[in-house]
Amino acid sequence: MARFLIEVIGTLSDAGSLFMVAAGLTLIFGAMRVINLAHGSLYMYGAFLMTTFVGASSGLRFWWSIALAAVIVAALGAVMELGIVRFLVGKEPLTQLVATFALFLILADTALHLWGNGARTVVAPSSVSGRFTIAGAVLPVYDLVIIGVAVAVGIGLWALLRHTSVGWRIRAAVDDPEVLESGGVNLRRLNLGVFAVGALLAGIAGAVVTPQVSVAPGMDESIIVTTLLVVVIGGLGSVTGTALAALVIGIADTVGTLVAPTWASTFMYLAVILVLVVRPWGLLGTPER
Amino acid sequence: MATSFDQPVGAGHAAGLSDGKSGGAGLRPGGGSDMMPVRRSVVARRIGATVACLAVVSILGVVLPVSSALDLEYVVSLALFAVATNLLLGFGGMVSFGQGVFYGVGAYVVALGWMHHVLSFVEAMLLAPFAGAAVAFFLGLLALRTRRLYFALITLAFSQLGYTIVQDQSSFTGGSNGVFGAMLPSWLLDPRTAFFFVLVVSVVAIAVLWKVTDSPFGLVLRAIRDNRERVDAMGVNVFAHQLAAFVISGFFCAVAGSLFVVYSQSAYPALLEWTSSGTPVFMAVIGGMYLFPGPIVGAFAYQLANTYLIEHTQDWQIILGVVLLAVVLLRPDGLTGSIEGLRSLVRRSGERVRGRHRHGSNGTGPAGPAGGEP
Amino acid sequence: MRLVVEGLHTYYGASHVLQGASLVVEPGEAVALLGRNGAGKTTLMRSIVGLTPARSGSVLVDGRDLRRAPPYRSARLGLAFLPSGRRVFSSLSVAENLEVARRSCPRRRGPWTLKRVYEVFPKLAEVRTRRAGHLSGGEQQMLKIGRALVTNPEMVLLDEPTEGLAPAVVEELGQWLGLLTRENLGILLAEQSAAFALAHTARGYLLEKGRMRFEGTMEEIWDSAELRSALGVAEHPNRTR
Repeated sequence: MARFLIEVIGTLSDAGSLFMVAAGLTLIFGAMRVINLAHGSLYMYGAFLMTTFVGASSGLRFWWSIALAAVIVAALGAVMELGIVRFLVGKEPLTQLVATFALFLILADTALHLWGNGARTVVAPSSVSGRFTIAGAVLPVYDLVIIGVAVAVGIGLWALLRHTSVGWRIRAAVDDPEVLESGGVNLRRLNLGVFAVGALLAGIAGAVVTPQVSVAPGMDESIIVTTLLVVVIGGLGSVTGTALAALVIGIADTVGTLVAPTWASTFMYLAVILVLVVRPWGLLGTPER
Repeated sequence: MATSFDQPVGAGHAAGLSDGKSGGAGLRPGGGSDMMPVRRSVVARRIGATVACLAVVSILGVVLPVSSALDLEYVVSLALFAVATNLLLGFGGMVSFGQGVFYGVGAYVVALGWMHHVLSFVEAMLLAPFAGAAVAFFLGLLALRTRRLYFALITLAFSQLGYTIVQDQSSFTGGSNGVFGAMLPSWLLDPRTAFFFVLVVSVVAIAVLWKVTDSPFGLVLRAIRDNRERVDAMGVNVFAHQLAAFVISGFFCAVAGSLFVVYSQSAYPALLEWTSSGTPVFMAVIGGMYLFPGPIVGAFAYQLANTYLIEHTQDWQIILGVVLLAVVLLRPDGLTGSIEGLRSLVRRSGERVRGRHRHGSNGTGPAGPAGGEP
Repeated sequence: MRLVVEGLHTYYGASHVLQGASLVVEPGEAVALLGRNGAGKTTLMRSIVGLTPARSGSVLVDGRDLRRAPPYRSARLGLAFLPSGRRVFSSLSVAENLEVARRSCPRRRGPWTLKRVYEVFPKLAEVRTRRAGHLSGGEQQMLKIGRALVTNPEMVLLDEPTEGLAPAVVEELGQWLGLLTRENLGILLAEQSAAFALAHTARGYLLEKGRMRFEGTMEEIWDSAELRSALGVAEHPNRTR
C-alpha cells in the first residue's frame, strides 16, 4: 500500500508538470494551428530564470521568483509571436517545424551565453522541501506542490475557456478562425494573447519543477519530445485530452520503471503507438480534414 | 552543382511550402514539365555538368590535405542522406523528422557487427541497407496511418524511441558511449581509398534515387503529394506507394549511415536523436526540396558552413537558426530554387530582347512556387 | 451603408480568380451576385471583407477603402459576412455563439439585442444551451443570421445560403431575408440557385470567369436567353413574388 501510494504521488507529480507544458502547446496549436518546437525552450527559460531569481536564498522569494520567471517567459513568448510565429499561421507543417526548430536553436545558444554550460540547482523553501508520512509511505512534500500547481492551472484554464468571453473567443478560434475574424475579432491580437498564455504555462512549469531537477542546457530538447507525445496522443488542440494523455504517459513511465527498468523509457512510446493505432488523431482530437 | 540536373520535381506544386489552401495544383500526369521530352542538348548538358562536378570532387579528394578530404567525404555521405530524405519531403510531400533512425540503424549494423564479431565489414555494409528498409517498413506501417503534421510528429517520436533504445540497451549497444574502434578492413584504411569508396557508393546510390524519382513510381508519388484525393479516386493504392517510398528512403538513409562508420569508425546514440533527424531536412530546405540536386547543394552549404563556422564562432546554432528562418520565410524554394528563378528570369528577358516567344520556359523552368507566378 | 467595389483583382496562388470585378450596393438595397460554380462569387465576397485580400482595385465602404484592411475592420464598420456551409462555432453553445458575435463588435449598438434575436427566432431560444455543432442545417442558418444581427450590421453579405438546405428551410430562409430588407439592411446575395435570388432581390450581377458579364434588373436577366444559358438554367422559373 505504502509503495503504491509513493508511485501514485510520483506519477501524478510527473504528469502534472507535463500537463502544464503540454497544455500551453496544445492551446497554441488549437487556436493558431501552429506547432511550436521551441515550446520546450520556453520551459527551459522558465527554469533558468528561476535559478537566477532565487539565487542562494529560499523562503518567500521562491514563490515570487516563480511568478516573475513565468511572466518574463510569457513576454518572451509574445516577442516570438510578434517576430516569427505570426507569419507561420496558415503555412505548411514543414515550414512551421523548420522555423520553430530554428527558434529552438537560437534560444538554446542564447541560453548558453546567458547561463553557461553547467547544471544549476534550486532549493525549495524549507516549508515544502521536507517529507511527510501518510499510511506508512514517506513522500516528498514538493510533489504535492507540483500537483497542486498543476491542478490550479487546469482549473484556471477550464474556467478561462468555459466561463470568460476571452475563453469563448479562443474556443471559437479553434473551431473557425475565419468566421471569428470576419465577425469583428482582431485575430492577430487574440493569437498574440494565446501564445503568451501558452508560454506562461511553459514558464510556470519550468520554474516550478526546478527544485526536483538539475537545470542545464538540453532540458529544452528532452522536454519537447515528451510534450509532443502528450499533445499528439491527447489530440492536438484538446486541453482535456492533454490532461488525460499526461496521465497516460506518466503511468506508462512508472509502470515501465517497475516492470522493466532498462526498457522504462520505451514504455511511453509504446503507449503512444498503441493510442495512435487505435485513434490516429489522438484520444480527444478530431481527424484532420 | 545546382545546374547539373535541372529536372523540376514537379509542375504545379504551388501547394508546396506556400499556403496549402491555394491548392488548385491539380494532378497532371503528362502535363506540366514532368513528362516533357527533354531535349537532347539538355540531357547532354546535364550529363556534362554532373561529370564535371564529379571530376572536381574527385580531384579535390586527391589534392586536398587528408583532414579536408575527410570533411569532403563526410559531406558526400550527408548529401546521400539528404537526397534520400528528400524522396519523402520534396517528392512525396511527407515530412519525416525521423530519418535519423534509419541512418542510425545503418551505422549500428556495421559497428555492432564488428563489436560482436558476427559480421564481416562487407557483410555488414550489405546488410545495413536492408536492416534500414525493414525497420522503415514496420515504422511506416504505423506512421502512415497518420498524415501531415501528425506524421511529422510521429516520425519524430520514432527517432527519439530509437535513440532511447540504443542508449538504454547498453549491454548490447555500448549505451551512451557508443561504439568506437578499428572496425575498417585493411583495404579501407588508406584515407584516399576510403574517400573514393564513400564517393562511389554515394554517387551510385544517388543515381539510383534519381532513377526512382524519374520513374512512373516517382510520378505517382508526386501526384499523391499534389492531390492525394484525386489519385486515390483513380484507384491508385496511395498507402502502398507512400510505404514504398518510406522503405526506399529508409534503405538509402541506412546506406548513408553505414558510410558514416567508414568516415568516423564509430556509432553513437545521438545519430538517432530527433535533432539529428532534422539535419537532412534542413539540408533539403536550404538547398531546395523541389529540384533533385537541391539537397546535395544544401548538404554542401550546410556542412561547409558548419565546419568553417564552428572553428570561428561559438554561435553556429544561432547563425544556422537565422539562416533557416530566412530561407523558410523568405525563399521557400531554397538555394537551387533561387538560382533557377534567376536563370529563367535572365532567359526570359533575353528571349524578350531577341523577340523569341516560342519556347516559353516550360522545358527547364523553375519548379518552385515562384515559377507559377503569372 | 454604400458598398462600391471597383476593379478587384484577386489571386489564389497562381490562378487569377477575380479579373477586375466591380459592383455597387446602395444602402438598403438587395442585390444578387449570380454565376456558375467557380465563377469567383465566393472569392469576391472574401475579397470584400478582407479574408482573401485583393491584389489591386478598391473596396469602398461609405467611401473608405477597405481593400487592405484586416477582416475584423469591415465587421466593425457594419458589414456582416455569412460564409456558405455550416460555419458555426461548433463546440460552443448557441448562446455562446451569439455572445461571441455580439462582443466582437462591442461599439455597434442598435435595435438588435440577444433578446430580440431570440424573439424573432424562438427556435434558437429553445436550443440556446445546445452545442452549435449538433444543430440541424436550418437551425445553423438561423444561428448564422442571428450572429450577424447581434452586431447590428448595415449590410449583409450572404454566400450561397441555400446550399444543402431542404426546400422547406429555403422557404423559411426567404422569410428571414424579407425581414432583413424590412429592417433596411443592404443585402448582397451570392447564389447559384437563380430562382431564389430572383425572388428576393431586384437587381443582379452576373459574374463569369472573374469579370462582371452583365448588370441589370432581375427581369432583364431572365428575359435574356443568353444570360439564362450562361447561368445554366434553361427554364424561366415560376415567379414566387
